[in-house]
Amino acid sequence: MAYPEIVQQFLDAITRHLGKIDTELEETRAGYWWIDLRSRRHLAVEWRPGRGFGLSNRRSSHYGEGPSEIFQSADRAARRVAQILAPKRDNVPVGLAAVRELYEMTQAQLARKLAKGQPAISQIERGRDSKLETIEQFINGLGGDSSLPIYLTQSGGGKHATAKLARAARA
Amino acid sequence: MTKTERIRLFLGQMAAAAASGSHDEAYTLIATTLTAVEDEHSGVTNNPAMWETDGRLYPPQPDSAALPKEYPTVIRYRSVDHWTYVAPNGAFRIEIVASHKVLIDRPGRDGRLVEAFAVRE
Repeated sequence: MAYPEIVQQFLDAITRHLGKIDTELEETRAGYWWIDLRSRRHLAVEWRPGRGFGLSNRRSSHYGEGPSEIFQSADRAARRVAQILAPKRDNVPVGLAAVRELYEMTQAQLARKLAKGQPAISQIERGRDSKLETIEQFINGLGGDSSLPIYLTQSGGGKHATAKLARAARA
Repeated sequence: MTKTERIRLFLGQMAAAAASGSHDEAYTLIATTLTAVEDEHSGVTNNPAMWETDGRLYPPQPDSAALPKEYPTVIRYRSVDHWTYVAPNGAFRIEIVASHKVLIDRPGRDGRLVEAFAVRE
């Protein structure tokens, strides 16, 4: 089966990071590729032309849910998969240090970009400064976007309101 | 409602619905039922073009369709952790990819399940 070059790059990177693991691929009619990886657990990755690799760090998704993380780069997606499927990791939170590592940036490099000291980056990663503005700056410094949808239950009804607290333009 | 509660409601309504007689009828039933549940109970605007999760549950999308070789006449729609099989007689089945656990398996109007369309090698 011939895969798009970027899907092959992703598979090669997965092998580099995790060794040989059980992998199944399926192409949809629209030319999307589903990549099912089975190692410590099952992890589904979807590649869409022009949109990148989508994956979910949750152990399981509800029916009809989309991916929780999207990566343009095959290698970055593969490194994120390696974080999730790494042996002896039972939870896979998207910690700020893990996100920084995906972008191959040291604390010192990020600190320079944000005009802060390296200890300040360390403090942020350890949760000492968890203001939304700080986290937004952190993500923007890596070249990413951040958004935080909040669903509030209205009193007296079952409806939810959506408040988007933060949305940064791509740096 | 939580996602789990909405899924339970959706599956309950699907189990109670009359059998469909064609792929398109079954596909429309799945789509309209889940969309109605989400419109009523999710609080999130319907935006199926949104790829990344927005808290809403979306029915199978046409661009996620594939023809599995073990079911050559059945269209199988993929989402992150689920397959939705829809057969030409209106039968459908929703299955978890990792475990193959079946969430719902309904026959078409002729009484046949999706499994009746399997081709054994």
